[in-house]
Amino acid sequence: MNRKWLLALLSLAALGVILLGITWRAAKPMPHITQPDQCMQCHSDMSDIDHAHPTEIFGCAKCHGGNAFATDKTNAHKGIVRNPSRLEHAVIFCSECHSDIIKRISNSLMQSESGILNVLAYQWGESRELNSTIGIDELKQEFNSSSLAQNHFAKACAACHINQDETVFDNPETTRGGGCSDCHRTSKTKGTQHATYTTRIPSSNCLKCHNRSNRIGLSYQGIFESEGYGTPYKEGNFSNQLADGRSYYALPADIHHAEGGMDCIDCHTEKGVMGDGKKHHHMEEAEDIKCQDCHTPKFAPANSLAVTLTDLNEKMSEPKTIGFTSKMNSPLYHLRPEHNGTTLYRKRDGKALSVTAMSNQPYHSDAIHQRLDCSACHASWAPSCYGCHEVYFENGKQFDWIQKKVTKGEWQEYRSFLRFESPSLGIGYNKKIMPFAPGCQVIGTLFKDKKVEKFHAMAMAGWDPHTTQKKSRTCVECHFNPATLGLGRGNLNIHEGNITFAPFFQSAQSGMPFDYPIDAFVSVEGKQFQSTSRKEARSFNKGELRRIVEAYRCILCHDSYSDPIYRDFNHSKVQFEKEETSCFKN
Amino acid sequence: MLQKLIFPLLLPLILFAKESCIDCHQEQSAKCEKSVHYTLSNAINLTRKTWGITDSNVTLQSIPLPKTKIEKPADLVDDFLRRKCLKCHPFNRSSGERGMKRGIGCLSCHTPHQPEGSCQRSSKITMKKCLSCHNKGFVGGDYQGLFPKDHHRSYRAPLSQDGHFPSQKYGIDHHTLISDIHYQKGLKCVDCHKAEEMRGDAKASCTGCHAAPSPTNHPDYHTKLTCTSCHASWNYTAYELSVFRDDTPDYAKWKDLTLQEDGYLTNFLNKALKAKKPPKPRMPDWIERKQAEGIWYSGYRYKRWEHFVLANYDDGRIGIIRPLFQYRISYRDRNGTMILDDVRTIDGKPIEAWIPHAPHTITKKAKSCESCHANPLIMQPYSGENEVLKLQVPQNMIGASPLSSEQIKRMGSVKYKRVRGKMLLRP
Amino acid sequence: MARWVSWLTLALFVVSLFSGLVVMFAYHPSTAYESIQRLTYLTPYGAFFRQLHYFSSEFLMGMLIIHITIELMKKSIAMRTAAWVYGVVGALSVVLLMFSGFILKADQSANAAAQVAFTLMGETPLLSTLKALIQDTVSFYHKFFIWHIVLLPLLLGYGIYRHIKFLSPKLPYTIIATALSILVLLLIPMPADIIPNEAVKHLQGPWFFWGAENLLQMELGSWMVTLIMTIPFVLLALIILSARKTLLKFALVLWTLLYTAVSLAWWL
Repeated sequence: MNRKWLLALLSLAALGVILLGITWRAAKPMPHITQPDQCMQCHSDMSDIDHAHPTEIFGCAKCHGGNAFATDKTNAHKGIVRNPSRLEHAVIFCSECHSDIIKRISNSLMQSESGILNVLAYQWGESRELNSTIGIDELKQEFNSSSLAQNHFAKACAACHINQDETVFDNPETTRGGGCSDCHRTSKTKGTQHATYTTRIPSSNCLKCHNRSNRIGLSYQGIFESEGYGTPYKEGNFSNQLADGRSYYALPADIHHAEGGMDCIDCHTEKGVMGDGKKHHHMEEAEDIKCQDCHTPKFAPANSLAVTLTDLNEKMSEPKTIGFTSKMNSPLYHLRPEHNGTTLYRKRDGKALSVTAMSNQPYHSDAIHQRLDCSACHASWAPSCYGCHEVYFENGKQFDWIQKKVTKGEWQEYRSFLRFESPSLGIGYNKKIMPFAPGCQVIGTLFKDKKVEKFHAMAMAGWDPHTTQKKSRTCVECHFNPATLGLGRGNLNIHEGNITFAPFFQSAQSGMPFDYPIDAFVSVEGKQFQSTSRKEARSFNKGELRRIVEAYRCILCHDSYSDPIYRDFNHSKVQFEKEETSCFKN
Repeated sequence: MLQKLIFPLLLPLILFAKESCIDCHQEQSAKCEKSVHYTLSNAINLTRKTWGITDSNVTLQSIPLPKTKIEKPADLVDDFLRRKCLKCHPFNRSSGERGMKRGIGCLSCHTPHQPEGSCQRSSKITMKKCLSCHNKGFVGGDYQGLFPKDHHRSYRAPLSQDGHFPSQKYGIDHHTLISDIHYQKGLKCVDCHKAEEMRGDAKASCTGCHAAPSPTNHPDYHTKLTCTSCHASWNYTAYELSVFRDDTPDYAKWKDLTLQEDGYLTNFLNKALKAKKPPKPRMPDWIERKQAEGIWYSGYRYKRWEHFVLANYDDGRIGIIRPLFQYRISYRDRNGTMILDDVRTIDGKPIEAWIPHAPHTITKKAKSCESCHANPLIMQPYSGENEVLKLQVPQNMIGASPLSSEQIKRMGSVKYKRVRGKMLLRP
Repeated sequence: MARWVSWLTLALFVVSLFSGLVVMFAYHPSTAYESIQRLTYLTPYGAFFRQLHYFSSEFLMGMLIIHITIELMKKSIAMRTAAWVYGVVGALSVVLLMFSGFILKADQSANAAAQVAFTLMGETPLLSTLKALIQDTVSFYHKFFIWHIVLLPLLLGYGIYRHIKFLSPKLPYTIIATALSILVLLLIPMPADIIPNEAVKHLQGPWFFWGAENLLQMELGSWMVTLIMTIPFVLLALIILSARKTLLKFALVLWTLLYTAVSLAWWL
């Protein structure tokens, strides 16, 4: 009994000492509680990301995770996420309000790149169909190492997708990816200046990725990726170089940019860009906007989405009556009917631009040109890169943008020559006539162990190059220009009733594994030399070529659209066949 | 200067026979010494005039030594000529490019033969001899259908069947376009460009072999046109030649541009880029035959084969002109100071020369009427006045002047339309 | 021998009870995780009482095992059958208290443990009907909370009372129990909570159930695992009823060794 009491007394003494220690240690002042979470204990001076996500209401942990209650750094930062806008984090942290958008963007082509992979596999003979939706997320799980197309895709194309890991880029000027940040972020976090986000997305964000492949982002700004001379030399250095070292020179920019100062988002709607949730096969299925949506607009009362978007935009007045896109009925909240015509308020700053309505002139309304897409006449130039010579070294090593590490196999790309003038025309994915350029003319050399294998897959692709001008191409430039017709560069003539064409480029003698000229989409007899990237896309056929060139015989003298013979051209043609027209009276 | 004394002395030293050509061929030699192949006066003075020496009248033998103090392009032009252009002259054997070796003096064109008169070989001048200078973008390459590719490393394609990168000839690899019909038929340079022309008496002309063109195909409104205006199919045109003399050893940035159609430069850069210690920038003066300070780099804006520009030649004909060249000049001295930084004008006038040009890409069938009559580019190619390439009329034509607005109006006249219309309607 | 072990065990229960009373007032079962975090970081001395409750409970479990071992090592059992069986009931309720306490902390591992419990119960015959006693559709932790603060302490208290005929511990032992718990909490940090969006490779339950987890990984079937887990308690109870005490003790030792081995099989 005594021993126990001694032990108890000792314990009591020890307890006393211990309690003293506790009180001393715990003698910090009452925990200072901050709102809305304890992150503010250290980060109270962090600036807002935008006016829709104020720090004083959201705090930090709501988006970045971590322990919102912890008051020390180690515990507070457990499980914290640096970039919650990455899609795998956004699904956890942002779904409370943005679940719809996150689902849509996760299925969009800008994340999967499935169109690129599918067309590549199709053109390289690895796939018979153009309806695959296998994209980057699937390839991350399962990679077919024997597929050349997948190998090339992983090394040469897959760097650009919305959810790319920003840390794999070593040049800050060419960094892309990051989930929602890829488009919406306008500045990176620095000290207490939090990264800023906006719905007024600057075109420079789009251009992080849309400056390769068909160079749309560059063309829109009047930049043509050039032959790489680096000229003119300024201060003893190369000039006119993009951030990644490619050379360019300036050509007339798209009129929407040059005169309107418009950004990509002034045309491309949120549904067209972020997707409608479906997994589309090709870009044109996902795209929403059309030229007509602004230039022959259909107005209707603003819906709730329009009100929300205008509010987020902060640069223009409340929407009452606005335009809507014809394809997906998205609100064009910045397109308003005014008493003197249509006004487009630039999203970046709310500046009012007056929209030229598409005229009812014969060149737009006549039946003879109904098959033409707007870009066929109004696109002034298109970057055309002839001959994409892919060289593959099986034993080389190159960075794989899907697995994010250096893997076996190295691709090098060479080219034959570039052009921008007189883009070819053909029948595009929307069954209308539009500009075509090489997309892609792959001449491949594969160095495998001791063997050298060769293959080639020559294809042309159609798209709107975003080099729109007010003035269209001249009649002759389409009707009697062999490059525009898709014949290539050479001498075109009508001789004794026959259409003749003598091409300049001698492919076989220049070392190509085919004998048609490399810039020839189609022969003068209507034989299509090169394939395309869509089942329905093609060159002009024999009949079309004949009709287009023969029409020049009329255009020579009847060189104005308001000429009466074009009112009912079929009737005029009939009269011509019967030699009843005044052409024959001299 | 020295050339006047040395070259005639060199001639006998070079020949392995005891006698020299002059001993027997005095008359020809005398005439040859006055010819352009000997003096290169046309190319030299054209360039010097373009670079600001308006009254230039020198020859290969009398071109001044390069100036030491440089303030304007005119001070630099002689150095430029001596080190870049004048590697092609009868007294320079080679400048490092494959296909550009030649004999010296008379042997640069002619083949030697025994003094007794019996020809060991045919004394006919082979094409190879002409092509040793007349290649790439200059008339000669186009005769065979060769078009020099762009300089950048990414243009070294296609690879051959067994995986080899294309080999260079004349300092660069070439596309093959359609060749001249005379070449296809087997004619060599000397079959048209005869001795009289070489000696400076006459000029080759189509009518030398071809009968006067038939009036049916060559109506009166086209009599002023040169034959090549219609019959030349394509035409080598290179826009905006930026030239840069760098006296500092700054080689890394040229790693993808080692092929600049200059064999010496290519070899130099290949060595310099691998060297642990960068070598001093030196490049030979091809006349003095010794190294001089500084390296001349060059690059174009872009090249085309389908453009052509028409103008009024000074001799009354209408024909094709092309830039030779549109210069943008830079010079950095050994201290790194930019003495000339992208200079493109002298007294407000651009440093460019558009000269008459006869492309050797003849086809039997002429171009269509529309190639000129409906082609705005015949007057205005894309050119870089500002940084935005826009269509504009060429400045500074030498030996020619622009088509007048009257002429241009006539090209779209009712008369033209009637005539062309008839051709199109009734075959 | 070593009577002090049993006294200390009882004292630790009391310390755990009183510290639990304090913590109970701060706990909100409908916002369980937030209330625990708030208690830990923002309530004055909240972390102290939480850690006191945790360490005294862990000590209690440890001491309980030692107490049982010592009593089994004695040649004869100086206790009536009923008292012994109530002791087993008390031991079982301690285990269940520990488990429910683990779940109530409402972090990722707790959530996972609760899910495993639902599955186990759901797939075991008889127990599946009782699943509604722990699973609540509206507030996840609600029923666990009721078990932990009312029903199980009452059961344990009654079990102790019927086991040793009284409930109050001796003061010296209470002081020692408190002092030891406080000493440990000053020296050793409590295992960290695994917050909701922390990425963890493998979530684990309380240490005494690691063996059960590994057994489940071996794909024996839920009801089999439940059966295995009830074996020690059945054996304990049987020891007082059967004559074959040595055999049963041996079986219990064997079970303990096997269970420990399975618990430590890290590759599962």
